[in-house]
Amino acid sequence: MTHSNPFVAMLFRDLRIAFRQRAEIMLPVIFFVVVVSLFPLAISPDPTVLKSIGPGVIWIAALLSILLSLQSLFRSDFNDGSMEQILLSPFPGSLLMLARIIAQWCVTGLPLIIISPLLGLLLHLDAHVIWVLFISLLLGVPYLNMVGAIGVALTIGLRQAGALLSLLVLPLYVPVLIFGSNAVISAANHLPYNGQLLWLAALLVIATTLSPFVISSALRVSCSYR
Amino acid sequence: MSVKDKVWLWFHRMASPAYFYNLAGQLLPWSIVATTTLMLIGLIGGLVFAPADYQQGDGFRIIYVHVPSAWMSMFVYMVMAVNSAIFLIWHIKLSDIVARSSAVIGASFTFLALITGSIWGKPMWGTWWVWDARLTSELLLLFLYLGYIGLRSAIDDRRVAGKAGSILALVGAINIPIIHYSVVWWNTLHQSASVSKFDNPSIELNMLIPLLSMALAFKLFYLCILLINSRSELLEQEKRSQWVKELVTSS
Amino acid sequence: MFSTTVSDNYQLRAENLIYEINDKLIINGISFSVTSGEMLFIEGSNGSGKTTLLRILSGLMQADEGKITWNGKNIEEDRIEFNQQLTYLGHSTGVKAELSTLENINFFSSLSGLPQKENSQSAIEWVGLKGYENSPGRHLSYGQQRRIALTRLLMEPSQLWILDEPFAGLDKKMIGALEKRFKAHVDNGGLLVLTSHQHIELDQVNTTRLQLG
Repeated sequence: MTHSNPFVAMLFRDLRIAFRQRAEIMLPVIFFVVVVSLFPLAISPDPTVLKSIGPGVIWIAALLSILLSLQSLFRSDFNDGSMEQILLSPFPGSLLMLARIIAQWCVTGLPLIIISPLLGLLLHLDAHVIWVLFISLLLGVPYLNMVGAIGVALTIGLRQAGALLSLLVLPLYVPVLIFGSNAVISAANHLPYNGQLLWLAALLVIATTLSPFVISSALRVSCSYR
Repeated sequence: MSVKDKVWLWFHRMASPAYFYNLAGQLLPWSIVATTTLMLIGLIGGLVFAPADYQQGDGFRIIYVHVPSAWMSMFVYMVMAVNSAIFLIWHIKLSDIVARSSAVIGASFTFLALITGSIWGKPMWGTWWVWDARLTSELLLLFLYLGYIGLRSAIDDRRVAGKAGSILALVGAINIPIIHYSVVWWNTLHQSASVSKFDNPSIELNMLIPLLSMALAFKLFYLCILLINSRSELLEQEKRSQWVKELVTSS
Repeated sequence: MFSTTVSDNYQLRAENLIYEINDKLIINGISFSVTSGEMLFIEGSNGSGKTTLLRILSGLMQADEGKITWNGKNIEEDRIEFNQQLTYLGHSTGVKAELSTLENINFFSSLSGLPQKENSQSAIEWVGLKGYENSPGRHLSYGQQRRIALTRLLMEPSQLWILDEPFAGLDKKMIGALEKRFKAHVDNGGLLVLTSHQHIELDQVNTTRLQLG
């Protein structure tokens, strides 16, 4: 008799599917690296210039690469009918959605955070600045995943969902972009950056508590029409 | 009958389409007259009678459009969010209609605030655009409005569009204070270049009266548009109901 | 094998359902009720709203007007209790291309969090997929994917089955086995709501027929 926790089952299903499409999960990270390495070419290889634009560049690239990876979230479930089964589960939909976001973060957000110190080196950031960059991404990227998932849930199944998703989600990313990149810039200028990091942490807590409910009710709405 | 019951009764009557349709029809002419009058008072007062600014001269007079539009841009989003919540919780169709018509009006006011802000910036800062906190917030607010309008128009089914739009409006409403705060905070870090708009704290009465009457005129204008839109939308949505049939056959 | 105790009497009731698509009334004031031991057979041509009606009954869509009750309670009020009693099979199978037969089945059975009636191995045998346990979904035919979805009928402890074209893509043998399973479910006090192009007659089963369109 199979009888395991739906939360765990959901999490492992998503992880398993993701790891079986290795090429697809590598794409956001590659995109991240490529976008960042274009900036020295477009602006200047001068280390002082790179130092000053570096934090912003890395944050914007991270944001775009998360946005890119979100496009496929929920899509196959919507097309093959598993979404209906998930919505009709007696287990709370918000918890199932939380499991999915965690899985999504593991395969898209986490690799990006891990590789970010390398990009910091490419842009001549100092060691302690890279450390702050790492922490700020660690706190901020899950927020991008969660808020982005709300946008995906609302636009699933629509024509031109991708363009619409960017319009819905990018304005909502502004606070994290401001606090995240600013924490790094402050660290580079030897100014205090704890306030910004605390803000990122607070936003993360708010998003974690609210977004699973919003995502699950948004999916319910989106799937109620074909 | 207790006060609470009376309030509920009123709420239900307002939510009844036929009652609201007639009420809106009676209110409409009055609001149009009031809008026009207040706008005339505001414009003549602001453009003719109010004194020119001691620093910016006549260019300053654009605030009689800019400030009320900026106020409206936030106010309309609030109305939209409240109606979205009502629609999601109590399924009152009228609220959805209000939210939907508000989006376009709100986006227009936001756009107007941005344009006038930019025109005002030219004589003041010598450039068409400055990344100051207020203009940047307005720009992001415009994106939020456009996202809402875009989402609703991408969904064919009206019922789904209403619910999805409502969820988005509420998510936006939670985020607006955070976005606004973060932008203001960001701006104070880079503020050296910009100058605060209201250098002199006291505002003269002959400037205040036109400003307030313009603000009121804009609110009433919004009301007029809401009434017109709601009436036509109600007829469309209730086309199968008895009161619409009676209305059509009697006219 | 299929033993459930007939302890409760369940009832699914629809009152005055109305649903329109693009200003066209697809479902026009339908009312009915199904109780334990009964089958509701919904007939109609393509586009007559069969799928829409089933999706409304399962709670995936909301009717414009009217209400659906499960044991007297509006299904919107207590979704958890209703979902515990419901097995819904739609057009799409929900089979993931990247997962094997066994993994797909195990996921379905864990999704509800409820103890299952049968283990996945005997369910696989019942639908005739023995030997395909480890084949990924993308290597299976449509018929085989449908069979994976059908294992849920064996495993889930639900009373109400809402099935959209359950015979699509199946061979004669599987259709026979399925009809037997339907009969056993209804005889044990289950409720069955289904659409089919195929004529279906269950012996001594109280059947209501609903013509749409």
